[in-house]
Amino acid sequence: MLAWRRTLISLVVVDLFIWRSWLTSEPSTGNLVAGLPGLDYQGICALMAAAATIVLASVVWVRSRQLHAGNEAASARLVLVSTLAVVGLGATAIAAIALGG
Amino acid sequence: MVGKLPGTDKTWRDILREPAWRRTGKTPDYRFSLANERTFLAWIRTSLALLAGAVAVDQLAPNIAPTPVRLVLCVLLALVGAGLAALSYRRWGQMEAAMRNDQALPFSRVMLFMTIVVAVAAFAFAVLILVAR
Repeated sequence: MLAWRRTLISLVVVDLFIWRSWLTSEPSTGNLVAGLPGLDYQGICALMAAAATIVLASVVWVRSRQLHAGNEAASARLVLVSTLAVVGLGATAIAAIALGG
Repeated sequence: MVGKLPGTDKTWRDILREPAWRRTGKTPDYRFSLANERTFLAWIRTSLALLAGAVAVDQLAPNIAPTPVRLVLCVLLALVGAGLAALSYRRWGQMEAAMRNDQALPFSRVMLFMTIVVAVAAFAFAVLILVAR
């Protein structure tokens, strides 16, 4: 259970850097979605990072409940979803680096 | 309704379904399964550390190298991080399948690869820090 929580904390560290990248970027002239200020490409990266955090936090919550109830092995679905969240965060990090430069 | 993925006959539901190897062999001792799960998570954290390093260098050390060099190094580091996350799932599945079927644990070159990547990255950034001074 601690290993899952440590992993979530590591993911939040990456998140903070991506959010920082959005907050310190030059404000773009146009928004991708009208009426939502700040939602430029960096803003979408920040949203994606937040989504990855929510997904992994949900996985950690589910797994913590499973481990409280017994000692059954993690389901492949749970492990796959957490992997996809991290891969998605990786793609977001690459986009944030490329757009921030 | 769940649509098919482009270029395959699989749907997202097929991919998220419990894999076939999970229904073969016998359930391993839970201590081994939990150890395999912790190893998977350790690889995921390594992957996240690489991602954090890539974004941190880009954000906090903009003068470490000319912009194109810095961008290429950071994107490469982030690519390795994302790839390592995918590899760690594959490795977890291979270990779990081997344990279920009472087979020897498969050999993996991931450790050697990661040792080389981290050593080369550390050397490259050390040189850049020295040159930037």
